[in-house]
Amino acid sequence: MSGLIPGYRHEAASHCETGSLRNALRFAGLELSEAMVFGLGSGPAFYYLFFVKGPATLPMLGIRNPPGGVFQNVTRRLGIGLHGREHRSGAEALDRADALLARNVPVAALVDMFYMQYLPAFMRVHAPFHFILLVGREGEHYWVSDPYAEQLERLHRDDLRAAWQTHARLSKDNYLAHVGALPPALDLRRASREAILRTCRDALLPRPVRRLAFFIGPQGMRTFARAMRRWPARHRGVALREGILFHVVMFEEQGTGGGAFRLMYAAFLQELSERFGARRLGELALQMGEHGRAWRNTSRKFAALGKRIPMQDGAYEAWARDHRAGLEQGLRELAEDFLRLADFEERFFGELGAVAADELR
Amino acid sequence: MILGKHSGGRALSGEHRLTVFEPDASGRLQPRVQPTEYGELIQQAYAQQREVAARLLGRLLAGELSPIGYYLELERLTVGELATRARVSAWKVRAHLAPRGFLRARVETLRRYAQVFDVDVADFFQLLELAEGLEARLEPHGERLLQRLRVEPGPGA
Repeated sequence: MSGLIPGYRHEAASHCETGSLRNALRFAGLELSEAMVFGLGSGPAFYYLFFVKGPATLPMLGIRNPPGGVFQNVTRRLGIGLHGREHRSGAEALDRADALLARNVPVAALVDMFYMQYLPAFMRVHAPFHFILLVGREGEHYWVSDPYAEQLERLHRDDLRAAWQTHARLSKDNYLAHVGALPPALDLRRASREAILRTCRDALLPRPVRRLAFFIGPQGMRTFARAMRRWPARHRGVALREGILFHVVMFEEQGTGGGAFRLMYAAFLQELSERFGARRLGELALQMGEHGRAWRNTSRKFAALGKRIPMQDGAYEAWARDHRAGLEQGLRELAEDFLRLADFEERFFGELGAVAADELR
Repeated sequence: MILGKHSGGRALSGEHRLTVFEPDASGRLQPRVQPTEYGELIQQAYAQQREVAARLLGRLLAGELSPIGYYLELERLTVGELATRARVSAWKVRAHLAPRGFLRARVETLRRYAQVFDVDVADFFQLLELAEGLEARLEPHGERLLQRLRVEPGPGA
């Protein structure tokens, strides 16, 4: 593979941001697991974005902190320099990437998945929040270390330029980042404690704020559960089918590691428990693992329910005459599942904060 | 646009593998690369996308919508999203969705649309049907203004 940064090792990962950062840190000389990166980045979250329509007409959900949050949190907490910024033009970003690659520095780029030619078609959607690492250049092509791919891939310069300059709403056009030098000593215990406390604080907002922030954290999950029961009255046909099925993609298929990132977070707590001999954290890790599996089962129910709705709009009304009651019942059960998941997270994050403050002192 | 096997298109097929966290023999959660358990749903989505493409092609050929309208619906973008991404006003995008409005689009605007849809400007003006056994290879050229296309017999032809 000519043009590749010598010594760079690619490894697939569950999620693009955590996987890219893990691979970049490993190249810089720091070996951390993807789960550890996710936990240190205060990854878990829940947002019911009722004001943003998703690709399948139903409102979007956020199940992790906003893109870029993991990069920022991990590097700040570990005292590692993060050099990232949006460039004025695609040409300037290409020049910057070339200069860094010439110095054998992997470059993290925020791109639109739609232009990643090597991904399967169903993953190539317009989502300009996908992290990749550029790890070499060969003529007009770049070597791409994409956590969603099992091996290094090649991407043409024009595709790269189109992918990172989308002008889409909320996108960070021409954003490039690279990690700087590692500090002489890392305090993983302190960083983990800080990260967990931040995750818990974000999940459990102060009581007066909760009423206003009805779309965040466990409260957001309850709002989502209530909205779910109204879907058959508000949506129909293919839009309803795809809306329901899109939740499966969101919770399981879009690089979450399963169970809407909750299994990855359980692995983080498990690792901390073993590393620092924190017994109660170990118990909480088991509970989070159970929670992740419960979430995964809920996703399976979403899939089973969505699949029953016909794939053609024309066939929906006739189908709904016989099956609407079953559909509503299925959604009521899913809403109940979500209320249970919300109750768990409300209790869990309260307890986790106290345990982390105590065992990771 | 090209109907048939070609390098620029997104093949609506292929296996999907992903990394998920599963417990190992000792109960520790470990990342493992494995095929998706939702393969059937993905295949259904591909089938549905093929059906949508065929229906849109029919409307395009019947003169009910312009090539911009075809790609907008195929990629499930809204007028607002396309306008923002292509930096064209929404009312112009709306005009360009109809064949008559499309005739008045500027080349620069078409180039911007082409970039959003990840096609060449030439794809708005021709329908190339590849016979069985032939494959086309597209090479990026001239910022999507010029389409460089090489048609050859496919493997085994």
